[in-house]
Amino acid sequence: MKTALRLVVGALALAVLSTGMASVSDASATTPVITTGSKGIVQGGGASFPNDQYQKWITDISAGNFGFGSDSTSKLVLTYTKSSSGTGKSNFKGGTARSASQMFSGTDSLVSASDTTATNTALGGRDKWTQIPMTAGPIAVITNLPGNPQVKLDGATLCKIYTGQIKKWSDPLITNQQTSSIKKSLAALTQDIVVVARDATSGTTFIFVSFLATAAGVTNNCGYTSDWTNSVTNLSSLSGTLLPADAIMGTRFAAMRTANGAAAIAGKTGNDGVRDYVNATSYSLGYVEMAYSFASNVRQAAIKNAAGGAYLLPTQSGANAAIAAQNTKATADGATAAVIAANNPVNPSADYVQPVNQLGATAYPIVGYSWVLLYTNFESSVTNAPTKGQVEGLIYFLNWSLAKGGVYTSGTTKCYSPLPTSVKTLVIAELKKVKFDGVTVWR
Amino acid sequence: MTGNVKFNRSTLSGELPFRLITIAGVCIAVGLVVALVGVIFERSLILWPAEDLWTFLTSSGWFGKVDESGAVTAAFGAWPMIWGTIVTSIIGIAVAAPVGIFAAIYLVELAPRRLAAPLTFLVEVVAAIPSVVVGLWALGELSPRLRDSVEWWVASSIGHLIPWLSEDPAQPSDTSVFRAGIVLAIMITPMVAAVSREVIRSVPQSLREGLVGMGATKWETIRLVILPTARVGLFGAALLAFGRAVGETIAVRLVIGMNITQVPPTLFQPGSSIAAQIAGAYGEASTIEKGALAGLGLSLFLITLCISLLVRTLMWRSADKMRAKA
Amino acid sequence: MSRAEKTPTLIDFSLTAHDIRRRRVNQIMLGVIQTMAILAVVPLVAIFIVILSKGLPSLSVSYLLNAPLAEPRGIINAIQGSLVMTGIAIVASAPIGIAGGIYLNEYASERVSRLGELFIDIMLGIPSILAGLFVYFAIVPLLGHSGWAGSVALTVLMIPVVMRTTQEVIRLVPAGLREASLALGVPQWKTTVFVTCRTALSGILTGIVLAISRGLGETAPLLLTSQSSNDTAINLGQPMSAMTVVIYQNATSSDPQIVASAWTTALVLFVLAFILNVLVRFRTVNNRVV
Repeated sequence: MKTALRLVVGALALAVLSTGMASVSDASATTPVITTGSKGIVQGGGASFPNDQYQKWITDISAGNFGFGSDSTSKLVLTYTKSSSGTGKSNFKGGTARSASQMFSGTDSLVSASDTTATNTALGGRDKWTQIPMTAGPIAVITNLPGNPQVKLDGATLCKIYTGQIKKWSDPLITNQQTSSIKKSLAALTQDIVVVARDATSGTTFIFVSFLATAAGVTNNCGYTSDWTNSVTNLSSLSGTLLPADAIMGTRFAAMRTANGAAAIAGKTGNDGVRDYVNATSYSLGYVEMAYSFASNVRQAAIKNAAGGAYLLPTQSGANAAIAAQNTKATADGATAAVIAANNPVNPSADYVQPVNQLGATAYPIVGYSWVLLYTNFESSVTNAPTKGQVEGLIYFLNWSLAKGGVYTSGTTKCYSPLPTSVKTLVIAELKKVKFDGVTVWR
Repeated sequence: MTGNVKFNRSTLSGELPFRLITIAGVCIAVGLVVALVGVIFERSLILWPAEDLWTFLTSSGWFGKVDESGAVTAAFGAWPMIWGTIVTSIIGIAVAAPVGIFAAIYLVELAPRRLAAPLTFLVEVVAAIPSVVVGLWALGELSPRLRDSVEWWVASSIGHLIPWLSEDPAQPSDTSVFRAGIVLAIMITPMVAAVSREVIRSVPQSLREGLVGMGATKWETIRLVILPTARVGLFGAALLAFGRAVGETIAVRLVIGMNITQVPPTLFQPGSSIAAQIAGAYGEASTIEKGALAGLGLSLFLITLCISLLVRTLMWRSADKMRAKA
Repeated sequence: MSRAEKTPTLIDFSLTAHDIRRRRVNQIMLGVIQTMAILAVVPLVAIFIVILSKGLPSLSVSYLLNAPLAEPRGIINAIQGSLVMTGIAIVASAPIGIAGGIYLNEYASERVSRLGELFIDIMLGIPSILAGLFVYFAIVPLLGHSGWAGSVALTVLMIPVVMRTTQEVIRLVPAGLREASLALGVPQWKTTVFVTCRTALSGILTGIVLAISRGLGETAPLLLTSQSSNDTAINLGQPMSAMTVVIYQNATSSDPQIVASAWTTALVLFVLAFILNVLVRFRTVNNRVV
């Protein structure tokens, strides 16, 4: 009898304790909460670089039982419309800011100083918005050559190709890096390299350019310096500090290429435009986000790693290594403010440089973060404003996606990277700053 | 025609409201057009302190910004877009006019009775295909084929004589002004055919009979009587289709290549058009660039306005001519 | 020419060399004309074949009825959006167009009528991108990117189609009918509505179908105004997808499956446009295509 009573009391105590613990862990809320019955649209748009990843996250979360679905009269409906980083940044501070159809923007380039001022003015202060990395990915250099060989290239060579100093595929600077069979076939070519870039401001360009500017053996940041003007024809004449830009490469290097006797860079629209053009044009070379680098006549080039000198293909693991290497610098004990500023992707400062040319044996050299621009002060007084439930849904989606990581696959190849844990922590801290009508959404 | 209405009580009750409704219809339509032109004009005004009209219309290059102090730099050149719009439409009508007019002649004069109706239908249903679908097809199928056949053939044969028909054989472009023109041709041929059909049908039968009576062959009837009589109307048909080509956005945008900073040196290289540029750039545009886009829109409207005026004048003249000859 | 055998005359009816050459020119030119007619039809066949081959594989009932976020993906939101926005636009533009067409024919003086014709020409000639730009500047700041904004843009483009067709068919109604009705003491407005319009009804309906056809086929104005959304609920206050916009957006994706879905949507739209066009053909007697 006593034993039975003890057992019952013990069981009861256990039950009480466990429910108590359960409510304690609910109160600390490791995930945001969406008010039951929340419905409406949650929309944003911008960069095309992360588009495939965002669409995959949206499809996956909508298929689960989290409150997201297809019908906005009963669920929350997510939409991300790809266009370009520029459009994303423009819409973020435009007339429809903070409405349900413009709740966040995607961009993979930094917000310039003048854009920051304009955004601050439009939104009412720097504290009213935040720039958080959501995903990262490698950029592939793609080529279209007879026989589809896998070409080896390094940063210095690519810089010379884009500035017009190297004009032909048979140039020794290119052929000397290749294996013997490819070296022979390239040396036999008489054709010029058809150089392809983007025709509008692009975050993808920004990442690629950051790589060119910081690669080993490159003269004066490949022209991406503070004293660059579009009429510069000789890189050695520059002396300014590093300043990557997302501007159109064709316009930028036009004068230089003419001086070097090279044809103009072909500008194409979007990652898809670059891919399609390279695929259709023999002897061409371009850069695209890895997800766009698969086509019948297109081959990824192997890029020389900054550390050991091995030539690497773009892979998710290579991107992971690059991100990790940069993250280590930012979180190292005793890291100076300058080092942190240059390596912290959360609300990146003007000195931030994408994780390109990282020192790590397996770190792929051309990797970049892609950000979401997020409002921190949603208000119901705005025209077409979202409800509290919709904002909760947005925060839930962003947090859920962070946890999911790089799940998008082209076929079976993963093209995007999850964020390192320390970066995720910082991003979550930013998400917790979002308020609706003055009340924090994620408590 | 204002009828001879006796205004007694029962007529008055319904008459006035009805007339007001019909007048309202016209007023609303006119109001919308005026509002459209007005709004676009007003948005373009931001450009004028920084850049004058002549520079805007004739220069090349697309750049503008407002820096922190509010100073506006604007160097928007609409010329490559205007050039592209006009040239692609000219190529379009140059191909569509003969094909459309002759197709119309066939449908009216030569087609066997039972074939005429279904064939007319087929010719004109192309006009019903949404332009995005035509553009998609042109991008994937037509463009590469034209590049490898017509453009290559023309460039290699007479390219060295006529620079604007040449191309670099090592680097054939994947988009070109010429191909955009051909896509426009495909899209406006049904319009040319349809309007030409009406014009040719309204040529008085007596004229035809006269020539047949004289022993003329079919072709001679067409050449000597029908075409001259219908000439004004047919020109109007071509002009109407030209106006349609000028405004086409999506199909052109997909095929032309969006080269907005300069007029291409050859027809076989990428260019751009006004409509394509507006559709592409409005998303990223700063306020000053939106002003430039509005300026582009205004230019386009003026072009279509002139064409509409010309067409209507020609149509009136053609109708008068037909009536006179009947 | 057979007369030559019956009646001996001084006129020689046999074929001269000149005649033979005229015959030959005739045959050649008739051949050219026939070729041109075929040439005008070739693109249609080519487009149809390509759309069918690329779009048919993914076409299924679930494709038409599913949401874009469902598994497998569908385009119900785009189909709804196109129909709703075009529907609202035609509800707005049909009365305006018909009323205006009636006025220009029945009540306006000769000069005003001519001016009206010119005006309709101008309105018809407005490129669709400008309608989109106008709504983007004037309406989007007020209503946001929404189905309403898209509908307004479509209305501007559809009014002149209805107005032009109405004006033309009413003009064709014989004056005798009107006069007979008036002679019987029927008031002017009742004559217009119950006699003239009823006679021209078939043509007016054609105008409406033509306008709907135009509305369903427009892309550029909707890109700027109603944009797109994954939502399947019909809410005009927020962005709405349309079939044309979905085709344009999907055509440039990196995912080959999504590009394939662009072709399938194109097939659906093509069939819809085809059906509407057939409808127009079989109702009309003598109407000009605008």
